[in-house]
Amino acid sequence: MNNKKNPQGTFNGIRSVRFPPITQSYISDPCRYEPQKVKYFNDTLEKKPHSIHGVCETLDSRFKNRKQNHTVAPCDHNTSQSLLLDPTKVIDMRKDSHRYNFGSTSMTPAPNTYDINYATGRYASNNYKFQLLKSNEHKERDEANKVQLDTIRSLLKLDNIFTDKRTCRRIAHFALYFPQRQYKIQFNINQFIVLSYKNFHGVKKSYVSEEIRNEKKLKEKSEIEEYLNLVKIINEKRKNKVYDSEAFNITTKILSYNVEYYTLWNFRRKILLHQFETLTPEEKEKKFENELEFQEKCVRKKPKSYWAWNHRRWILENMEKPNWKRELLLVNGMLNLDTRNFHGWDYRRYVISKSKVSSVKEEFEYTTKKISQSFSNYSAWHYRSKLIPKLVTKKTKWEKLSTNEFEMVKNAEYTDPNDQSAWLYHCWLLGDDNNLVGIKNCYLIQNVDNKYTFGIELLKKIMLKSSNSIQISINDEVQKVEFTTPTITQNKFSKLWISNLDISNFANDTKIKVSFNKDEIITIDDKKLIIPELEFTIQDLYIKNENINSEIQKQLKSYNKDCKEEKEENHIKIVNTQISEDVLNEELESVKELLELEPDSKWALLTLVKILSKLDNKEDEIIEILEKLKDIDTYRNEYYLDFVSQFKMNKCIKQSNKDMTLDLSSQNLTRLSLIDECSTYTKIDISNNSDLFNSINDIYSYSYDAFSYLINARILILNNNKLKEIPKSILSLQNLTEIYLENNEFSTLEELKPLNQIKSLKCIHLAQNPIVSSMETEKIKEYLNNIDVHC
Amino acid sequence: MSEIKVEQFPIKLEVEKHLKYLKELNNHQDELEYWLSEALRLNGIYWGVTATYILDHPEIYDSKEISKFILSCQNEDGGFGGCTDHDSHLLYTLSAIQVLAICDTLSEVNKDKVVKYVAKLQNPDGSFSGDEWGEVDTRFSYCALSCLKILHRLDAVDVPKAVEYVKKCMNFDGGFGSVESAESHSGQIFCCVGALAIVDRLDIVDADKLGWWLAERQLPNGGLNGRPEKLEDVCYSWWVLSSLSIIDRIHWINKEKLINFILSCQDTETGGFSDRQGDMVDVFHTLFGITGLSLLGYPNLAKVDPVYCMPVSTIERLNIKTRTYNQI
Repeated sequence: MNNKKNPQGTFNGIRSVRFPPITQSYISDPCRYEPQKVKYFNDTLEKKPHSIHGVCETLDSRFKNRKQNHTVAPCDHNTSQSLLLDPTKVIDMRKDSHRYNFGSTSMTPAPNTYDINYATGRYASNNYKFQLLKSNEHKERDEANKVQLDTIRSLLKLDNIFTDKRTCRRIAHFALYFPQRQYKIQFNINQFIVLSYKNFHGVKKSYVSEEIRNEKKLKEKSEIEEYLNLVKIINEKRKNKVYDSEAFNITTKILSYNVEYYTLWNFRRKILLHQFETLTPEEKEKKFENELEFQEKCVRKKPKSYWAWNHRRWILENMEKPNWKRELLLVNGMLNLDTRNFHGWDYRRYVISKSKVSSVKEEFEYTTKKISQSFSNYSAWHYRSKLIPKLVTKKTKWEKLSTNEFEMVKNAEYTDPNDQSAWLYHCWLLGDDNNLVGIKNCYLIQNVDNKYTFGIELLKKIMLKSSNSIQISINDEVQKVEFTTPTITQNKFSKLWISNLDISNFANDTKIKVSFNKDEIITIDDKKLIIPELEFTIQDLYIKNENINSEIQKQLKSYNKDCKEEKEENHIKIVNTQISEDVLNEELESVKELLELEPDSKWALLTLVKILSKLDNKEDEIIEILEKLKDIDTYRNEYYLDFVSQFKMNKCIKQSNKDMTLDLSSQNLTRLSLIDECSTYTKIDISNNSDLFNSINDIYSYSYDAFSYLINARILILNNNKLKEIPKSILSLQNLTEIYLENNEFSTLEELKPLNQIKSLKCIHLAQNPIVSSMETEKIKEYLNNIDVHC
Repeated sequence: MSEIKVEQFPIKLEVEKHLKYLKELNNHQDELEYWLSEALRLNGIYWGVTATYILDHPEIYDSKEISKFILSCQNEDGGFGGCTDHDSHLLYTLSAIQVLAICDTLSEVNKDKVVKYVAKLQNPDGSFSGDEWGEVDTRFSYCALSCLKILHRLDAVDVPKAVEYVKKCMNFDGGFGSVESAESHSGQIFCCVGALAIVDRLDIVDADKLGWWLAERQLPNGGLNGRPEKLEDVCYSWWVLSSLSIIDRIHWINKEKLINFILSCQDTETGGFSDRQGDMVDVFHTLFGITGLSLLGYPNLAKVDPVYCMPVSTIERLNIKTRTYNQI
């Protein structure tokens, strides 16, 4: 890997070993953890130089052959292991150092260093088990936890301990990893966890006696009466449209009690609108201000109440001069308390869409800040994916930006290779198939009825706004064409588009011109496809026996360089963001380097697959990695199997390039994911892939339309597949003349009957099916419209 | 695919206890919580009724009485409120129509009025507002399309526009958010994938990418979470699983481990399911625990439809079965 000089001084190289992977564990109590992990930590600590705040590790021990100068992370030197192992001393606020300022964001270790404590803190905050500690209601929580808080405060000599989530997690973490201290802290942490739970999700079951329950009911009886009485009055007022201040006050009373009473939020707005009729603009603004305050009180109680947030939006949208800056501050505060609250993030985007209080660039920097606080903030990574396209307007800019992005994900991945957030973003950065633009193939085939089909296969799925969004002209004369997809349902996104084309009156060297109406061709991500006109001769396009149109495919490769996509958003032209081969190779090296340290890192392996799949002829390597992943990540082994099938199929397609036969037999395929790229083959052999027909529940139903893409198929071989029925999509193949169904499980004529629908069918091979032993060949033949039956 | 057997699991499904829990749901009028949750009573009824049908004991509730109550929640504007004397909202309008459909009492409702209410909530960009106050969310796209499909009146709205809006909410990970630019969330993914399935437009979904993201929701304890790096929760057994099922990739997770997790979230004393082991049960998680098990092929349960979250028998009777994903 390149350890480039980085002007910002941010970390550029490899971080240290991480924590051992979480092994499968059914322990739901976060305070019990794998003993081998504790041992690992203790062992690590033995060996490393460390500070009160953790262990600083240089790269020396791990990369002996790498000569580098290392800076040691800011730390105190007069510390010993005993201090580190004592949580009361570990978090010691008396030291006058910025490292003790838990509220600040300057916790990132210095370049080329590794602070185990930093990573543990991050690890703890990433680990879903620690999310138990999440709560926004720290005020109420503190009250409820007063006793425990006092104990912990005195224990840790820290006043604001439970207002900082990270600190909570650190304590939880130390309680976990250092068993000698576990008991003392565990008790408090547990109490904390239990008491921080609120409402609907995560309400701990409490065991109360019948007696206490009855007592509670008795106590609630008067409360219920009072509540229902208020509800009765307010319903009366609603019915009679009484918008007086008494009604308003009752809504205040009920809503502060029950934020989810949406009808009363509605009524409250109606009352306000009524009152506004007689108020001056100043009085109105004052009312709105009060309303904002009230909403804030309610939302503190229930931060995830959709109704309360709607109310806030309504207020702001109806105010004369809404203070959007204040809203931004509010949402900053919210996202500090709970970094993943999607109401918070949505509200943030809302505020920004309504005002200009923060620019795209500022928002981008905000996500950078959030991510550097916690790499596992998937919400921030997500937001980044929405901002980047708005920042990129030129190719050079994208290259610069993407270098920075790859650097950032690398940091995250080295810190905790188990955290999926950065990896998912990484895969997106690398781009998927959707980033390819252009035409893969273009051809003419002659059907059994002697008519011609013109086919155009694109690199990505598109939809045509109308059937003549693609125009064909011969000798400058526009032909009557109607493009459709070969599948049963029309008007869908598809890679393959076909149309009848009458060329019977033209000579072989006549030129065919294909033009694309850029406003009528759309991609799934709403981009416009801009592709130049194509021009080929009939004989070039025509596929017949040995003449596979490889010349055209070669020409298309250079043609595709002129193809692009465009999207306009707020008058910014968003251009396509593709990764160059150089960058891909750099990424390949970088991921491989991580794999040297972590040979079984699932996410690194998966990313390696994504990178390799963009390079040529890597199928064997990819299949090998996927086979390995299947064993590492057993829960998802069938995903890897399906994925393997895709690459096996790709390999077969590549090997078949010479003639028009596609041999997919005996590949243990579980799905036919690339079948939409097989429309030109005349003979397709899918024999001996019984998993394919077993694993797909719906293969016999209409929704399985895989076979409809084989529009040029004359011979289809499906021997040894344990087939019991004819897959429906085979019936749409208009050129099929011969079908092999040997050694399958057909036992009745009824099961074969659908074959009658294929008008072109001349011959069927049925040897080694139960039906053959129980029935005369002649009888089968008779039943099947007298086509040839071979048994 | 190997068949799921009851004996495979250390705990069995406590059908009797769950039925008892569901039956007694309405008997808690002496508790404050019962009254505070009134605003979502219709959702609660839908969760409870559907659960009894999937447990294959529809007789637990009196469907006549329930239908009568549901009808009393319909307002002048044609929509349904969360309870009597509550304003109309799409969330409750769908629940009402679903319950009436399940109980086969749809004939008793003024359908045209409902259709008019729903259709009026579509915005020019194709999205749907939840009510007259204008909140937009892809949840409401699902509510509207599902409701209209059940009533066989999809013609009342602009379906291509509705699809276009859902498409805009698709993210880099293949998932969907509540509005344009919002983060992917499994609950929201169910709504969007479900909405697309209802109108037969699953071609928009990148099934491999989305399926992979959804499969990664399974945690080492077998449970599913709703977003990366979050806690597992029984309700995601439904949101994630139904989405996977609609795009035909349910085999990408470990079924046995998930069944184990769901079963461990039952309260074996009182009946009902909680979000995770040891928490308080509620009817919401009870339904999604049970429907999750049904999708996973747990024995002796009625089949649930992944798109509508209603019994398959109801969907067949209504003749609204949608295609599941085609393989490409």
